[in-house]
Amino acid sequence: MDRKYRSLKIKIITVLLGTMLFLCSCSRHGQEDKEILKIYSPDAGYSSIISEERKMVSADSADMTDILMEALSEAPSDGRGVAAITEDITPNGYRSEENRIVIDFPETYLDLDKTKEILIRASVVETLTQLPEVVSVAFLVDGKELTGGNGEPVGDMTADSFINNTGVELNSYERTNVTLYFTDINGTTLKRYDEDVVYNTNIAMEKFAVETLIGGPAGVNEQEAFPTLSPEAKLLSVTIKDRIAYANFDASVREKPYNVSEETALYSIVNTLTALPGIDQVQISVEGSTEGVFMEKLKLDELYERNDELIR
Amino acid sequence: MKTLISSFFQDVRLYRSLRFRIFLIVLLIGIIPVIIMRYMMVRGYESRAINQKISEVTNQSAIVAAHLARTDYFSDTSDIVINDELIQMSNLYDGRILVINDDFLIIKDTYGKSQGRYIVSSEVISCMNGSRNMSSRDEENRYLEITVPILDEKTGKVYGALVASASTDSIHDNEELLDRRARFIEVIIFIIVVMIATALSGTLLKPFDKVIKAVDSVKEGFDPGMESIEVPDYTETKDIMDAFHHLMSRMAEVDASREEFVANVSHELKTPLASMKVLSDSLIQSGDSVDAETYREFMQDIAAEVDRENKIINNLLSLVKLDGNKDTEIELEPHELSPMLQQLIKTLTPLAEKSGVELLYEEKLPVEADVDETKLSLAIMNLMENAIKYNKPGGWVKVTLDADLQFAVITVSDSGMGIPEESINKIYDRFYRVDKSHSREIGGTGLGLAITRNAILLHRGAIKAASIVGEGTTFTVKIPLRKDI
Repeated sequence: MDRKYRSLKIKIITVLLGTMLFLCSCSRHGQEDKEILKIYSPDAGYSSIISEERKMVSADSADMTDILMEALSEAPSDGRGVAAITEDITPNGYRSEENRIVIDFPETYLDLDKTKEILIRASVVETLTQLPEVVSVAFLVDGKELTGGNGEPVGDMTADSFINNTGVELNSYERTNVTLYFTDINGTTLKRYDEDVVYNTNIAMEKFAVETLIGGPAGVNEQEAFPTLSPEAKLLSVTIKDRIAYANFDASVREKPYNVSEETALYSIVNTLTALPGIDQVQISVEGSTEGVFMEKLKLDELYERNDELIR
Repeated sequence: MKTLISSFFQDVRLYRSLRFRIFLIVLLIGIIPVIIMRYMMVRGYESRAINQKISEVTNQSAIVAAHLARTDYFSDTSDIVINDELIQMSNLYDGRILVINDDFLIIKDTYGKSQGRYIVSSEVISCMNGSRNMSSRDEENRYLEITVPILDEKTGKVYGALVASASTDSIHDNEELLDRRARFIEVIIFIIVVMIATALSGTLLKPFDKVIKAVDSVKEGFDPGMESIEVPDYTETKDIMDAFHHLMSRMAEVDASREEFVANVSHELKTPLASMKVLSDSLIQSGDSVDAETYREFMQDIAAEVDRENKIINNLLSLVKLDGNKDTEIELEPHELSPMLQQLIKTLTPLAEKSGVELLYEEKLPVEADVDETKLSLAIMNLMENAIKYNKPGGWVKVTLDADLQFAVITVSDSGMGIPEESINKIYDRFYRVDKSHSREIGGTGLGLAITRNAILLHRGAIKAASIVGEGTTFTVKIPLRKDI
């Protein structure tokens, strides 16, 4: 009877999952039908890049590229800007390769002045790389690769290749000091290292600190500092609540490629996190679970506080 | 809520207190400038410091840019000297430096993050194309952004641009420090001002306390002597005390005149009673020896005294009614004055004949005026009665009626004994008699002219007497023609 009940349960779950999957695919399909995309173009004075949101209706991505290329050769409807691809540089053609689009421009492209050229290039690349299947865009001129002022080929460009706003760019990185705890050659004590780092302000500081810890000591003499954790280890997430940091690692954190004691490894994480403001205790989980032990004996279901005894 | 606050301001004794207001005024005058000063000081510091920083960073960037233009950094970015210079500058301003070549390619980032990317921001583009310095401030994230072109001084050829960011944290920290200090000073000044305001509101109003105390002592019955209460501290308190003294002496006057009046009334009421007492006593003492003729004569005299007593009381009552208090009702209605005067003459003719006085009436204009007929005729009758009584046999009394544009004018003149000049101002006083020795035989109550004057004043009119002793007296009465004038 028990078994019968279980099989029924499985059936119900299967049906539910199936329905959900179906619904998901439907809604994703619906989204693709009328996606809102930005069309980038130089502004009227060729002094910056502006964008206009447009509803794009298409079913499959090959069409989408055509629609975007078409949109790029039209001036924005509000009259603030000009078409990115003007008539005199109408491409000889373009082709979609895996994850990239290659556009072949006529020789007139080389006559553009530098400002115009970079704005056109940025507009085209930023517009096309919005498509999920387009990672990079390459420019050809008469079949030959486009070269920069120094004669070197420009190569593939991604959405990340262009900075539209200096302020945002300047803000997205910050130079700061993180305190990390590595170990010595014996792997039994912790050593404090203050590292001067530049980090992306979009990433939480605690995540950055742990990732830097996993990455191992940099810029310090390797005779003095040794990594405590496997470089394969991955921090899946870290959240802070009520001054407790909940750090979730993947299973590879249990690997021990170096001669490091379990205590040293665990407290390198705990001490690094509690060195940050607003964290007093650390709860470590592996693959989202706090059952069992960290490596051999230290239990995961405990809250760990800073340990100064290990520090030499 | 709003009504609550407004009722607070209207009702609360504290707010209405002058002491509190002085306190508040001194407090506000002391505090507001300090707050404004702090605000201006801190703000002023901030904008000055920011501008200074902008020009400092711009200058420094221009120097580095000029250095970059002279070297071939654009073809080889591994130049240690220049890289050190860039790192140093980046450390100095706690910021980041980007070097951009003429392809808009970032060839050096002191953070090492964005090399190889293209920068197409409007600042960089207009800096490169316009060869000018650009600066902007991000207040929220606390940094400055400076963009300077890298160009060949001689040819003006633009090699690229240099973007530098500089943290304004130190300025904001200084500003906070300054603000904290200013606030501290502000608190100290606040305490001092509160103390000064308390002291001032206390001492400034002390003289008024003295005034209150003085007035209170009078209220409680203590009579310190009129001139002894002086509060000469302020002109205002002196004025208040002067006014108070004035009021006190006026009250004393009123008091005295009331006492005199009561004395007069009692005297006048007693006189007929005394006569009656004498008459009746003598009748009782005479016993049966008095004949019926004498009895009748004595009883007639007593009756005459009772009439006189009655007349005095009636006059007193009508005087009280006319006495210019607010409750006195007067009904002003248009009336022809001529018939009224003629009726009076008719009424008084028997009395005049008895005294051997001729009554004359002259009407220069027919007059209609807004008057209370009863009261006015009473007033004029009193005048005429007096004129007849204080006349000599074979004399005359003349009544004339006239009018100008605004007033009706009634004169009553006689050929009587006249009123001495020193008495002319007192004739309207109650119970005043020019010649006390004659009063008994002439009769009257001594209230007639007082009643007349009150009646005329109720009409908002005026009465004036002119007299020559031995020749006669003329009373002129003026009554407004229309009540709304």
